[in-house]
Amino acid sequence: MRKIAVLLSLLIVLGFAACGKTPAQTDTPDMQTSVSAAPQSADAWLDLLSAQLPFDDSMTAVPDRAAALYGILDEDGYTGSSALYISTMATPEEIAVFEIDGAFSAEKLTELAEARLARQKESYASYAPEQMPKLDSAVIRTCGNFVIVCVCADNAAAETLLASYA
Amino acid sequence: MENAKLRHGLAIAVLIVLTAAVLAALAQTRRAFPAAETPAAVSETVTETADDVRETYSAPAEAQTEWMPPIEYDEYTPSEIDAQSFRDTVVLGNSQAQALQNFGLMQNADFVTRIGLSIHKVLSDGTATPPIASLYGKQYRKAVFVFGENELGWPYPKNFISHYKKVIDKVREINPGVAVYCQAIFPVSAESSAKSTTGITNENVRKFNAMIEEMCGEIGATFMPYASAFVDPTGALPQGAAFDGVHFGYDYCKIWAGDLSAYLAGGDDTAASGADTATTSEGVTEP
Repeated sequence: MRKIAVLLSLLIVLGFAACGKTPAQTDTPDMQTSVSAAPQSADAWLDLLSAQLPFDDSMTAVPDRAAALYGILDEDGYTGSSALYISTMATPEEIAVFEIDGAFSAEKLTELAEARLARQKESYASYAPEQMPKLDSAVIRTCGNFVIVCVCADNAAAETLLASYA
Repeated sequence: MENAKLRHGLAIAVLIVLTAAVLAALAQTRRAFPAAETPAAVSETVTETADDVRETYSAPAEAQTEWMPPIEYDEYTPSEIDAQSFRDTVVLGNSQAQALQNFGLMQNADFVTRIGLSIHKVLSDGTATPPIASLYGKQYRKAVFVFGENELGWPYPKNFISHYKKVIDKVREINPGVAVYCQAIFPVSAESSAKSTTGITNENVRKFNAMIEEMCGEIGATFMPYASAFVDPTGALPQGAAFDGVHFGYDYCKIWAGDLSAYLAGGDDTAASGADTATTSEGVTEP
């Protein structure tokens, strides 16, 4: 009888263990498997990235400002779609998404993104040097027909996320 | 005897079950910590920490006693933004002004802004193209100046005013007839003010604003005080206006842009007639 009771108890214990999740199985969303297909528009990319990546700053999605911020003038004739998620300027955090369009090839847009980051580094080096690691590890990636720039609180996460679509 | 064995066995079973339950509860609690490694959880953690600090912070006694006028900041009605009021307007300033630009809240205006720009770097910053160089080639009827937040820690505040006057003189020289608007320095949050080690305090904000207002009176410029939405009863920036206590988010920038719109629309007549255009920084009005 005693052996039966001990066996019964062990079964119950095993049952508890089976119900629990290990830390790796917690409710954390799996960034690489939760999205089945790459977004097909600049806005969709922005929605995805702003939802998945962490930011220290208070961020705002601003329509129609990405091109100007990255030095593309009206007369340059850029007609691709773009999207911008920008900080309060307390930090250099931002997401910019540009659709590759005519003369604005992936290389050209990457060049503009690098120039933008260089300007930001120049500004923040003296203004908020503690923010420089975010700029130093900023991510510029071409994903399909889009060039994407990420400066956030965890650029490694941005790199991982974008790599899954590259 | 058999009953005693049964009771003993059941007691052991109950003990083991209780132990298992406690262990399961502990495992459930521990799961909260690994979750912090995920991006979303990191963000939440930062926010919670900041909120905790704000909730436990009490404004310094001096801030509570110095501020005299009663301010009904939560009853403020923002002005509508009229993009037409920003035509022929240039905004010169620091990161706060750049936020207005980046948020696209002042359509039709041109901006000469830089993160961390101080007034003494406008005319000369050690490069071939200091900020002032951007003003050549186009005539403006209105110039808005947003300076002071980065200069609050200067040991000699009079130098701030001296540089400010020189910049305004230069802008007037380049743009004869331009109407000049100087934005009051906005207060910072009580927490930022108390923690600042670089002079960015609300006491200095009040001191510098008094000097800017006096300067505007002397040189025939328009001093634009901040709206009551930007100050709480203690004289500090209201909680929630700026995540870091200094830089406004979109909502407050929109209020600010509405105020600027109202000021600049009201100044159209002045700008058109050039009423303050012949006034120098020495306060001498020329014919």
